[in-house]
Amino acid sequence: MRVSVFVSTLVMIVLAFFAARYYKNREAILTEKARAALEQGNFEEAESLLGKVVEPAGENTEESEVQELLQESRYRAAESLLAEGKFSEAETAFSELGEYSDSRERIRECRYRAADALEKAGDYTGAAEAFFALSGYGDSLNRYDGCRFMHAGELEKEDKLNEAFLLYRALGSYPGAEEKARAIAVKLTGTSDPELAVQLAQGYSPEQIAVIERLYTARAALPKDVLAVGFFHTVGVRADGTVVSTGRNTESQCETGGWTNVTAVKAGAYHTAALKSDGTVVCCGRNTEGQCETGAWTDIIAIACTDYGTVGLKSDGTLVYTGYANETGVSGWQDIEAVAAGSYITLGLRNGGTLLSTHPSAAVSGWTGLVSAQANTGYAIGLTQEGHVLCTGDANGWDDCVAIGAGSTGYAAVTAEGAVLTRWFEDRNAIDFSDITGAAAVAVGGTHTAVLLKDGRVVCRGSNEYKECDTDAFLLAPAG
Amino acid sequence: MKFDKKLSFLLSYWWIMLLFTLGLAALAFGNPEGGESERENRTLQSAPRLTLGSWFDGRFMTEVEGYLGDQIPGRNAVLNASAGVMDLFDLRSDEERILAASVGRELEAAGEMGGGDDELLPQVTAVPAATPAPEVLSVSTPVPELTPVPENVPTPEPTPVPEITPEPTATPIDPAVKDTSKTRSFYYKKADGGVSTVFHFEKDAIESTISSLNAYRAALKEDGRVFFTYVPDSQRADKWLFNTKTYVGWHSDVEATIQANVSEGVYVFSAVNEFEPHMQADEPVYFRTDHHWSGLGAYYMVSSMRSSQGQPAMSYSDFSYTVHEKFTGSIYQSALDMAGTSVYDRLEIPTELAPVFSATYRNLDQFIKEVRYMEPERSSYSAFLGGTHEPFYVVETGFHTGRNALVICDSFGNAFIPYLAPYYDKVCQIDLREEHSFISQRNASVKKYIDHWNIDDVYFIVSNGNGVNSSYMRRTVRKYL
Repeated sequence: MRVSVFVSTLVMIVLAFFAARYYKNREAILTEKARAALEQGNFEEAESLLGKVVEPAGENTEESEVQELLQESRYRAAESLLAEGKFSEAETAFSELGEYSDSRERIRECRYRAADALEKAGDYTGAAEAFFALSGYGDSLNRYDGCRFMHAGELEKEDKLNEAFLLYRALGSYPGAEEKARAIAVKLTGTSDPELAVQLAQGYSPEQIAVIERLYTARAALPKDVLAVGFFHTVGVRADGTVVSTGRNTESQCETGGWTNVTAVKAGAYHTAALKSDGTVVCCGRNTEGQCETGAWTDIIAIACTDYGTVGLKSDGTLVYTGYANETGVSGWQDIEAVAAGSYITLGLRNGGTLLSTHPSAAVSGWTGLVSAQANTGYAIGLTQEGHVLCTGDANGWDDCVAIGAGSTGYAAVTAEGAVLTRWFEDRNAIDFSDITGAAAVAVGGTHTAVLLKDGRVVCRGSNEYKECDTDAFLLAPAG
Repeated sequence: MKFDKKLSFLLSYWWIMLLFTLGLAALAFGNPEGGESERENRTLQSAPRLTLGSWFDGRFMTEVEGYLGDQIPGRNAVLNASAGVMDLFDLRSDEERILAASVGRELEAAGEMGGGDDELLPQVTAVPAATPAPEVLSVSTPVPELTPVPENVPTPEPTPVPEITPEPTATPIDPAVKDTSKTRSFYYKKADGGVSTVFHFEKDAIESTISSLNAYRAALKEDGRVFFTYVPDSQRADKWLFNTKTYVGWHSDVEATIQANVSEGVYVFSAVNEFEPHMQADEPVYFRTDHHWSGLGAYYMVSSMRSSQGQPAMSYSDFSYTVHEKFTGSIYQSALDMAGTSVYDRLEIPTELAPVFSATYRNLDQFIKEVRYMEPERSSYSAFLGGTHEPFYVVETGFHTGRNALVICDSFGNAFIPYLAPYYDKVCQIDLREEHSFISQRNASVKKYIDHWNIDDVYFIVSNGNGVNSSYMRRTVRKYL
């Protein structure tokens, strides 16, 4: 009896010793096993083993070896999913990794490869949508155009000539698209003149074509980008290429007196940018966010300003940007014909009349046939060749317009007749321009708005706290 | 033998007397107005009312049973012991532990919530255990589909934005809605067609809140506006979302009554009704492990308020975000031992779209110090604005509309302000709960601050603890005006 008690006690002590030893080294043992599993590619097993070791994440920001190993395991599992072509699962897996390594970039890669798979499977519509959503990543925009071109070809084969024509038109100068569009237009209309055929094929009646041509001529005669407003200042370009400004100058945003050979001017919140005839850009004003760092820019054909940034459109259709960090996203844009910006948003008008945006609230993939666009906080407006003003989330019913302007409290348009139409989001911010005739352009700010008349005078109304509306002496480049 | 029979009789007798005494104690010492069980997150049965109708349709006996069960002395101690035993043997799911967590005491200690003056429950009149289902009410303003996105990933899909419709012509107000003497409710919709009341709102509370809102409207300029909403805390949401077989929705009707009685220029929003379709669509407008709404919930409320004024609503995805994938908040911290939990939240901290300067002030305009606008490295609700700042906090937003706003709030305002910022030049914040107010530092009435800082609009963003039924909205905000 006593012996059996002694033996059993001894056995229990020995077992307890080994159990304690195992428990003490448990973490190390599990980690080693997990490492081995990871090297063999058994990610699930590795994660399961590591899960027994890792405490639930809380406020602990220290990266322990085990945490690192767990992240690596998950990263490699996500990579494995990507390699297997399970793009959606891979995307989810990478997104759960947060900031680990290049997980963010890999998410876009997952989407790109998913779009690529769609294209290879012949789903050109789906692929086009997916590539468009990735605009700015790699060659997504080129792939987008390519998919649309292929889809247009499919429509042609199915004898859906109208749809094919419109799609080729929307592709602008994509290689082969213009020729295809003209050929279909001639076939559809029976008209031998390709240009006329293109107009008729868009469904325009002769009267509508006349309107489009009239508005085109009216727009061509208007001075462009010669008037701009910032938060508290107003700037204009004279016919001789010099610049005049008025308003608050606490950050030197009105130090434009020495500028010459200026062809366009834009204004951010507290800075002013000017495009010179030699393709360079000069700036003055606040530079704390780098918005004035344009000294090295060359070959610029157009500029725009967000509140705290400056954007330049190069002759090759790409964009350059300097300024507040969150307003990036234009790298990778191609075939841009016009640029616009406001608040924190940058817009690129592509060849073919479609619009790219750095932010979703101003992103409208369905708009086509635009001749210009503007954006501000939470919205975008687009001017069509027919003179309509489109606005995200708003229906204004305007037509016969030739110029537009967007601000934080509302937007405005100039009609071919020279009247100014306004839409203020809140009545209390309204500024009345119903008495104006002979308008050529409009620049809408947060608390003041300036209208350029065809004779070069400027009418500015709203808050005049810093003399930003003292534009009586302005005589800018007149309409042609 | 005789002794055995005697003993058996005495035992039975004492058991019966004990049960009878407990029942009497429940009737005598119970709360006739029911009260609320934080542990169970529900309203307890109030004293039954004997009427001919309630007798014959069985409601009276049902209420008696419920009252005896809910008001028995020592009930909470028994429940706590039961919870402790279940936790010991890991018998409760994470959801059950979250629902059982009592947040109030812990948060008071942390200075997060108002103490003392908080009145979570109104004066409750007896409510039968089951009431006929109310009319199914239509969903409020349609909102765009949104998917929160990781930081630095372009958000490619264009987000449909709400249509901005012209201001509707004024419609006559239904007198029944305008009647403040009628009890209003915030209730869950049950799958069986019934309802389960969360709060009642009585005449005094409603009228006091109306007076407060009207007083602030009168303190503003002619074109000034007041916006108000009370937001249920996430434990009210969890009770629905963790029990979707029992609960299918929720609704609040007090806001319509308040709106029908306030001055022109006061706009009342129902977070309950606004969030219902989003919650039914499984959108994370609330955290599950923290008592606050999420940034997405706050964004929806800002969008709704701004869209009502004709302003285009920004997209949630216009902001980039610092994301904490495994966020566990205030409820986690109080839900006893949550080690090994499988319930996490995703915390998305928006990055500002313009350079921001934020600072605290005292004595009307005396600068105290600059403070960081957001603290995205924190895996905590306090990442929003870095928590609550006292006594008067001003955010120079970097945007320009010529308007300034004042947000009077509790901690729920901290997630609201980043999404409101792009619509104003300055957004000021004040928390009038005593723990955060430091009256001696403010040294001026709120009206003086409104005038000095040129405030155009005032927003009241409060949780249910500081909402219609609380002394915060009923008295405190007016006291300091």
